[in-house]
Amino acid sequence: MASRFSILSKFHAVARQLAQQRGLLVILALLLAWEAAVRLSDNPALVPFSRVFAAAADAYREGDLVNNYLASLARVAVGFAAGAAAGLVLGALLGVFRIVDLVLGPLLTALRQIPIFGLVPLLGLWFGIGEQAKIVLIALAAFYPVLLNTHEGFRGVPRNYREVATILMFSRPQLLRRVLVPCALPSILTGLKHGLSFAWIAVVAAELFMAAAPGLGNILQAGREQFRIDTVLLGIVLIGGTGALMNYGVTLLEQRALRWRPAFV
Amino acid sequence: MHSVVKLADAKRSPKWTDSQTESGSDRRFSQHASDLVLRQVAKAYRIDGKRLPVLEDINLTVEPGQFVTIVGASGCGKSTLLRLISGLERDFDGEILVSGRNVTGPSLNRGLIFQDHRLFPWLNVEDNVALAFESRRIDPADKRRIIQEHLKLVGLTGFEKAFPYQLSGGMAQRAAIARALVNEPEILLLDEPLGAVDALTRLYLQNELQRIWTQKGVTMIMVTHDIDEALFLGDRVVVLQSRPGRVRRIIDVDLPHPRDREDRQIARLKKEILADLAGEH
Ligand SMILES: Nc1ncnc2c1ncn2[C@@H]1O[C@H](COP(=O)(O)OP(=O)(O)OP(=O)(O)O)[C@@H](O)[C@H]1O
Ligand SMILES: [Mg+2]
Repeated sequence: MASRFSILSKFHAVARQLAQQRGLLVILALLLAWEAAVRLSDNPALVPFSRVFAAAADAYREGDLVNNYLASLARVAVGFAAGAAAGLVLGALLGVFRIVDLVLGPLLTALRQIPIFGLVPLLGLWFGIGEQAKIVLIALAAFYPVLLNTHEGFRGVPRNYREVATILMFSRPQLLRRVLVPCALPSILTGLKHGLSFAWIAVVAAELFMAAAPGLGNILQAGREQFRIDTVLLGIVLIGGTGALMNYGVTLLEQRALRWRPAFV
Repeated sequence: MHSVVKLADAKRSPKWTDSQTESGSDRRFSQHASDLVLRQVAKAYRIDGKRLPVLEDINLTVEPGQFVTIVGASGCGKSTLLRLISGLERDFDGEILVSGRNVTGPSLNRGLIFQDHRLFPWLNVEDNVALAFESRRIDPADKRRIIQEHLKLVGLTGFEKAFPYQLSGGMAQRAAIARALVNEPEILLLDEPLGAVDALTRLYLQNELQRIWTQKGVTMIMVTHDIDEALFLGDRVVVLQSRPGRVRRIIDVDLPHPRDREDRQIARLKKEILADLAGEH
């Protein structure tokens, strides 16, 4: 009796877990549908999803899969770190000091109107065809969302909270550390999340539209040149999957940092 | 019109810290309450370029350890008055003296409990209360002990780790009271601290406030719109009239604490205050 009960409860636990992962189930179902549809039709432009694994295995054996992947990751890491750091510092200055906002605000707003991919030719001329131009593009992509959200976060700190700090005789650094930063944090994290996904998009763009270099863009490029749809798909799957993982990672971080928000419990 | 004493100090633009004025004294964290004197205090705000007098001709002397309650219609300047006394608002006319010294800015010697609790949502109860120590040097062990004692005083033992959203309105208000109390201010300013709680909790917290007041010997100045509350707690009840806010009347309530809410004299005073306030319309 007891064992039957425990089997039943285990079954329930598994069912509950599956229910929680229903987002993943949808993706899995779509992939299965794709596989089935392709196998039922005979259009050569379509390849079954399973071919992507084969392409991955090929690329891995040839040794450039890992290298390309790591190259892209390293690029996004450097570019994102630089862009996000600049966005955080400038955003905080804009949000905390009105004078900075008055002086730099209009310029930054004007510059923001330029789609960053429109800068690709200019960056090429300025920074050459090497790694530098790519990093700058990625940094720029990460910069704006971080800047805007950080600015917004600091500017939105309610006067009420500042008054508490005044009454409790906080110094300026104490005000920053105890009130402004924690209050702006949700917005800052949103900025970082968007900045990271923009940076990741920019990596691929940089690798496709700027001088060739190892990276996931390379895989896409090679697939196109060799008419290998499966290789192109492999590139797309890696880009999408990595982007999703990054997003998931930041969301976990957010949940930890913002435990105090009822929405996150 | 009366003569208005201009205060050079009070006209200064707000600064971040300004503790040197009267808080530098040894009495800063002592248990003995300070006396408070308001002389010809007047305050005007500017709304859309036009001068809006909010308070005029406020004269009030509060003895150390007294419980003063302030009643008046909405918008008559009750919160403004507390903001002036707290030092949060420095631009005013007249004189505000604490133990004979001009108030020119906030001080840990004067605690202010806002109309809304203003706990920081990102900190748990314990850390919110600990904020009061941020600008002081204090031994961590003492700090923990004092916080524990005060959470016990306001009945929040066991909720140290709770975040504000996990508290009821009354609990949050009690945490705010603890935050204002830990520095042992000589003067505690309370702006409708019980405004947001239900009737039952309100009665309970009134008793709690009275207990804390007796226990700490602190001077309390409390704004309320509840006349029963004002009469139950106050040694003196200041009735403000509005537009601009002036003292209409100050009523001395010569009854020992704790009081009987059904007391005949209280009922009579309540009628008088109601008549005063109704006379405005
Ligand atoms: N920062 C401000 N700028 C301009 N006017 C203000 C400001 N703060 C308050 N006032 C005005 O001062 C008057 C008094 O406001 P106050 O908040 O002191 O009223 P109150 O007596 O506390 O009212 P309530 O009982 O509704 O809390 C109001 O007419 C309000 O419009
Ligand atoms: Mg008010």
